[in-house]
Amino acid sequence: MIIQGLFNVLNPLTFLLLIVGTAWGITAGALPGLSASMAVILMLPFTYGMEAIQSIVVLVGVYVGAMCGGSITAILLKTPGTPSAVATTFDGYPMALKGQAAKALGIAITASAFGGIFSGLVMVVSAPILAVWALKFQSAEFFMLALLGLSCVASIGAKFPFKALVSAAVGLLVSTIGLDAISGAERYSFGQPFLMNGIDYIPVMIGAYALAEVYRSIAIGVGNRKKIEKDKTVKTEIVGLGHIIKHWIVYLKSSIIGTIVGIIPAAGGSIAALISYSEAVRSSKHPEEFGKGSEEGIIASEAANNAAVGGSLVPTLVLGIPGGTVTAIMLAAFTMHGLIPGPLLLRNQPDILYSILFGILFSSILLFILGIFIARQFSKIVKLPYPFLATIIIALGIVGSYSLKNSLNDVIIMFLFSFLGFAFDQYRYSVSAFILGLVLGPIAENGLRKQLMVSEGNWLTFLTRPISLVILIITLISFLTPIFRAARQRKKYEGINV
Amino acid sequence: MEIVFDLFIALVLVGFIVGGTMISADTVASDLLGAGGFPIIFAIFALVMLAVNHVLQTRRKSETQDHGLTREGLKKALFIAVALLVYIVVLSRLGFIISTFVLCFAVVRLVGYPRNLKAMLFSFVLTATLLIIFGKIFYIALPRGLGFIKELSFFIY
Repeated sequence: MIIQGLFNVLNPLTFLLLIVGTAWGITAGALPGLSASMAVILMLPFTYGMEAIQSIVVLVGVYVGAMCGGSITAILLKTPGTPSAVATTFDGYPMALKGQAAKALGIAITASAFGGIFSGLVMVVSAPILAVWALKFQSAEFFMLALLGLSCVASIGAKFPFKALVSAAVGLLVSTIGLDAISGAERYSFGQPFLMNGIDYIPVMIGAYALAEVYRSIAIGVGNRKKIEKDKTVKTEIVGLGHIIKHWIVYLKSSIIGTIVGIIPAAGGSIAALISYSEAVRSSKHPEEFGKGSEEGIIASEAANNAAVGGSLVPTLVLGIPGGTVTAIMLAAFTMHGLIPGPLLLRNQPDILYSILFGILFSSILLFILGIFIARQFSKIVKLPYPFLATIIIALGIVGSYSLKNSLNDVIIMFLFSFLGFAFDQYRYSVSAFILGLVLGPIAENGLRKQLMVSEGNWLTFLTRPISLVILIITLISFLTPIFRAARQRKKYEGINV
Repeated sequence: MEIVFDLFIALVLVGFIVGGTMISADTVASDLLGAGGFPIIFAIFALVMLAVNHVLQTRRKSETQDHGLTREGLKKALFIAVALLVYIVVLSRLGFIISTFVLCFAVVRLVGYPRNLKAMLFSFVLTATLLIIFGKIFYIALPRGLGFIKELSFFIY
């Protein structure tokens, strides 16, 4: 079965298609406004004429490539190419500003490859068990996961924790704009139809990060960019095995988190990356370095979002339940070729599982070659004179925002939130915490309210459900650790003064 | 200026609280928080955090951050924001090609690139690239404008 799976992927045509799929995924993932799901959807028609396994392997390659590709523009332009790369922006861009763009890209590619390979192996070894376990996740667990993601706010805003909390709260508030998912009530939409669906976080991110950064660079006289431009040839500096060994804990933990979160239906790479980042901040000996160019920040984000790929395929293959938008599209691809994912498929055609595993493995390895090449093409953009670079960022931001729903309203939202991002940056609020609140707000609110409804108002339900309780304990540890650490530091220095 | 911004945030938070109380309370019986509960809770939480931060900052008398902003730079940033605003207003009227070309040229010149010809060439290449990638490869329905501009656009994308 394993050998058959390997031969399926090593078929020359299939392998060539995998290379094309991965390259396409990286390129599409790098372009803001084009998500991994869009990259997969656009590839889908080309797979109609392929054999079933070829088709699935190609789509897996696109998925793996897109999850990695988002980090390229996140690092070079502070514009995450995909939502799952938002946490990569926190440390990738500051690293680029220090003249270490090449290293940041290398770390992102290595971490993506590691996460992808790890989750592929986990998928094969434990798919049936994990799928059953994932179905135990209900509203309470989703609420706790969102809290876990939010728990890193105190660490993100280490110097100004209260302002970080305000920023996160503002993000949570903005996420409530629109129609309430439970009661259907209009909230803060002022009768405007375009606000009834809520505010999409992608144009907000593009505005608050990329556009705000353009304003800032221009306002300070573009001196900041000189460090990136000095890097005459921004090649990708591939970090070797030594780097993985040095940071093995972060690599491993992030991959585990990404795989587990990816398995949970509707959780996805962006949530996996944020939770993984949160955990990396909490457990780091130097949390103050996060947000300023910490290598571990990039590892945590990229390993987790690529690990979510294998994880999301678990419920899709084993139970026929898509783990997210991309896997829903893959489910369509399965159906088109007459395959019905589920226990019967795995029993009758087990080589499919192994073909997908090898598809993920080879695609992750191809990230090193293709990722370097494509990143180098994108990095030529940063060598341009700043007026040209600023224009590219603005134009990409506009088209990226517009592309989401073919709507000018998203461009307006991007424009408005660019001022918020600029002001937050100037007055020491945290844009990262704001985005965290915006992304996790709906999950937190809906999880909380639905669980209370199901339990008929019983708050203890969050403590009596074992998985929920475990996540709550981890969240409390995550939230309190930086506070205790800061108190210990203060005590230590008081002792020295005495 | 920081205090002004903090006040602005406080005003927004109060707005969320007031708005939250006006949200329809009709919901499922066992929905304890209702549609307005979550926003009100977090708005109050944020106000408290803002107040605590203000008190601590006043006590610490923390030094003002040097933002490194220059008057000239701020003016340029403001002009770019205005250019963007104009772009948003005219985009649906003039269509993607004309609006984007003009915006790109305006931004390049506003940021300080001195040469008109090169700026125009760059704007043309960028607009064309975006049109090809997003309009033709990804089939994004880019704005076409009105009247004869719209008719002309069908020849291109």
